[in-house]
Amino acid sequence: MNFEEENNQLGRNFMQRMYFDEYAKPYDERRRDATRIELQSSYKCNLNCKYCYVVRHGDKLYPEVDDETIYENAERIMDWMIENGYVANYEIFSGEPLIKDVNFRILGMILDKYENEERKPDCIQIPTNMTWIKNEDFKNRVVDLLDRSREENIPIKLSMSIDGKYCTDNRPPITFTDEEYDELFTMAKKYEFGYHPMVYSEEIENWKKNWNWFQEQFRKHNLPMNNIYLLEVRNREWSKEQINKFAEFLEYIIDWTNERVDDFVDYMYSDGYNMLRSPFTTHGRGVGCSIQSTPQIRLADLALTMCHRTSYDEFILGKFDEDMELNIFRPELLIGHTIFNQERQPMCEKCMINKLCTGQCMGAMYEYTGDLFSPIPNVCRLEFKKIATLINKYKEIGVLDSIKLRSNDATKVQIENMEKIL
Amino acid sequence: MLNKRFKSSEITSTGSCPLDCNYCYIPKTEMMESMHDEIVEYVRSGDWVDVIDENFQNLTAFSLWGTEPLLTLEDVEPHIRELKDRFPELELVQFSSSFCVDPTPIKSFKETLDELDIDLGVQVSADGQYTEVNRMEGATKLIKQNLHKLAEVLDTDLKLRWKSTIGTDNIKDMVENPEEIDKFFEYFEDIEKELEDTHLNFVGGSPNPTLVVPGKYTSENGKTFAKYLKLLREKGYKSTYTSRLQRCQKLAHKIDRKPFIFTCAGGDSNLGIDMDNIHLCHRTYYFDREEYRESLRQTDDYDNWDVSLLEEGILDMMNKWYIPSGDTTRFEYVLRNYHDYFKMKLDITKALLREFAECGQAEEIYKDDETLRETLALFLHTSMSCPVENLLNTGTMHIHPVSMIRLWCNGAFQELLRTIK
Repeated sequence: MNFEEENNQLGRNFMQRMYFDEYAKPYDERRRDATRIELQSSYKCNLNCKYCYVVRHGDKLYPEVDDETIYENAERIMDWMIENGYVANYEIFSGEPLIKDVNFRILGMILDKYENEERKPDCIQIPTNMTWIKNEDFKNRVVDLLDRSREENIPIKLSMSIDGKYCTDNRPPITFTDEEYDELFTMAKKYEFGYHPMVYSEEIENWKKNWNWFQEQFRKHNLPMNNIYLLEVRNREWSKEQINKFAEFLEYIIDWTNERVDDFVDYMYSDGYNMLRSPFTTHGRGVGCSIQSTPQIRLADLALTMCHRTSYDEFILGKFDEDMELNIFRPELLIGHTIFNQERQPMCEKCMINKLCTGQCMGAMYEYTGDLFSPIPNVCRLEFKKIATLINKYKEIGVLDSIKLRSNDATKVQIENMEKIL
Repeated sequence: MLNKRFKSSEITSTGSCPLDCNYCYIPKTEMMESMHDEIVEYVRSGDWVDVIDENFQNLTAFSLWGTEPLLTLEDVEPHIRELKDRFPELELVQFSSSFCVDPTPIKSFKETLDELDIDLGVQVSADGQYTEVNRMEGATKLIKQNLHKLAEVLDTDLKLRWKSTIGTDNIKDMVENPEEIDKFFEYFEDIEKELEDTHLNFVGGSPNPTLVVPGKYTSENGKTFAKYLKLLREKGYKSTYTSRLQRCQKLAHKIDRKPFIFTCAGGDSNLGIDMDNIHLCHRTYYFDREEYRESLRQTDDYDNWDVSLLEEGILDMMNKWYIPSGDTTRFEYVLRNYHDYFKMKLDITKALLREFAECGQAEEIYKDDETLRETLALFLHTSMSCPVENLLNTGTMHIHPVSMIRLWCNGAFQELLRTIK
C-alpha cells in the first residue's frame, strides 16, 4: 500500500470500529453513543439570526449544488446503509430544513426505503425554526410527514429552535404572532417536540421575562416545565455586562425551580435543566457536543466532515466516491477530533474549572482564533462566571454539599477550590 | 509590537535556487523567478530593517531564508550595520546554503559581521554520495570546488556546519548496501580532511542526516528505517535522533512546567518576516502571495513536495490565520497554545498509535503497551516538533502528521531506545 492507501485504511478502520460495526448491531447492544448520523442537506435559511455561523460563514461551509444532487446523494447514503445492514437515527441539518422541497423529498424517500425493512431507525431528528407554520402548504406537508413517520414507526422529531417572545430581535426578519405561538405549542404537545432556544449575549437582559413566558406557555399547553434545552451561545461577543446579566438569569432560574420542586438536587439530576446540571455530571465523551459521536455527511458532495460548523475545505476528513467507497484523507483529524478531551486542550489543561466547564465549540474557536483547539478568552470568562454563579447559588440555597456528594472526586476538588476563591 | 520573548528573526532573501531538490519543502513554480526579482528589490531597499524594528523589541539572532541565500548576500550586507544599530544585542547571523553557487560573497559579509562583533553561522547542505540524486547532477563536485574557492579567499576563520537530509530511497539503498553507510560518512570526512589547514572549520562533527519531513511514509518505509537505525548502531554511528531522545529523556521532567523548551523555535522565540507580513517561520514564506498560491493550485506535479492537500483550502487557511499583517495578538495567543501545552497533543498521538496497531500499520505491541505509546508520543512531540507541518498536513498545529508516526512505530523507535540503553 502507498501512503494515501494506508491513510485511507487507517481512517476507514477507525470509522468501521467506531460507528459502522455498531450500526449493524441492535440499538440496545451498541455503544451508547453510536446511534446517529447527521446529513447536512443545505445551509439555506429564511432567518438571519445574529449569532448564527451559517449567516457568517455559510458560503465557505457548504458548496453550491443543485437540489437534485443533494437528493441523489441522500438516496445513495440510504441505499448504502441498508445494503450494509446499518441502521442509525438520522438528523437532517442546517439552515431551515422544512422550507425546502428537497428535504421533504429526502424525508419521504427515507420513509419509503425503510417501509419494508425489518430494522428501522428509532427516529429522524430535525432542528427547525418552525417558520413553515406561516405557510399552509409547508405546514400541511410537515404534518403529513409527522403523521406518516409515526405510522411507519420512524417518528420524525422536531427540535424547535425558537428563542422566545422576548428575544425575537435576535432572529430577524420573521416573528410569530401570539396565535402562531399558540399553534406551535399545541403542535409541540401533540408531537412531543422539545425547545432549544439559544441564550445569546444580545437580549440577555430579557431572558428572565422570556423564561416566564416559556413556562407560562408550557403550563397553558400542559407541557412539562423542563421541555426546554438551554444553551448559551459560546461566541466571542459577550461583554462583561452581558456576562453579569447571564449570571443573574442563572440565579433566577435556580430560585424559580427551587420554589417549584420538592427536592432541587433530585430534580436537577433526573429531569432538570441541562444548563444547571451539566457542570456537575460526567458524560462518556471528551466534549459535550455530538461531534465525537455522530458522523456527519455533507450531502452536496458526500464529504465526511467533523460537524456542520467545521465543514470548511481545510477540514474535510474524507469522501464517498462514485461506488460509495469511503475514502479518508485526513485520518489525523478524524481520529484526533474524535478522541480528544476538552479538559486537556491547550489552556484548559491547566484551568481550575476544566472538569466543570461546558467547553467551547470547535467551530467557534476556529472562526475566532484560527485554531480548532484554542479557547476564545471571552467565552472562558462566560463559562467561569457560569460555574462561579452556580456554585455560589447552590451554596446559598443549601444544596451544594448534596451536589458534591453526587460528584466524582476530581469534580468535587474543583468545586471546593472554587468555593475557596469565591 | 511582538512579545519580548521573540528575539530571533529571519527574512526571505531570495526566490530563486539553482537546484530543485527532490525533498525541498518549497515547491518551485514558474512564478518564483518574478518573485525573486521583487524580493531582491526588497532586500536591497533595506525596508526589512524597519519592519523588524517595528515588530521586535529585541533581537539577538537573525537569519536568511528562502531558496539560496548566497544569491543575495551582497544585497543584505549593506543593511546589517543598521540592523546592529537598532538592535545592539544582535550577536548571530545565520544561513544555509547548497554551495552550488559562488560562495565568495561570504568573505566580505563575514568581514562586516566581524567589525560589528556578530558571529556568522553557515550550514552547508549536502547529502553525501546522495547529493547527486537528491539535489543536482554534478552537485557533489561543485560543493567541493566551491568550498575550496571560499577557503582560498578567506582571511579569518569561518565556522561551518553540515546539514544533510535523506529520503526513503537513500535509506533503502543503505539498508540493501550497508557499505553505503560508511561511504556517506566518509564523504564528509574526506572534505573536512582536504580543508583542515584552511580557515574553514567544520563544527558539530559528522553530519547525522535528518529525514525528509513529514514525508509520505508508509509502514514499509518504517520497517526499512528501523533496519537502517540498527545498521547505524551496529556500525557505531550515532543517529541525530539518539541525541534528541537523550535530551528528551534528560529533560522530560520539565515538560509540565516548560513545554516550550521542547518545541521548535518557530513561533516561540523566532518569527519570519516577508515584506510587511509576519511568518511563523521560513516554512510559510511565499504562501502569502496570491500569485504563488495560484501557481501552486495549477501545478499538478507535486513530486518534489510532500504536501498534496493544497487544493483543499489549507494554503488559504495558512494565509488567513498564520501570516498576520498588523495586529498579532490573536496569532501570538494561538502560538502560545501550541508551545505552552502538551497534554492533548500526546493524547491524540497515543490514540493514533493505537489505531495504527489496530489496522496492522504499527507493531502489535502498540495495541497494549501504554508506556511505549506514551514514550513515542513524547519523543515525537519533543524532538520532532514542527507546527507548520502539522498545520499543512492535519489542519491544526496540535496534531502530528501520520507519516512521521508511521515511520517510527514499525520498529524504529524500539531500535532507537536500544541505542540509549
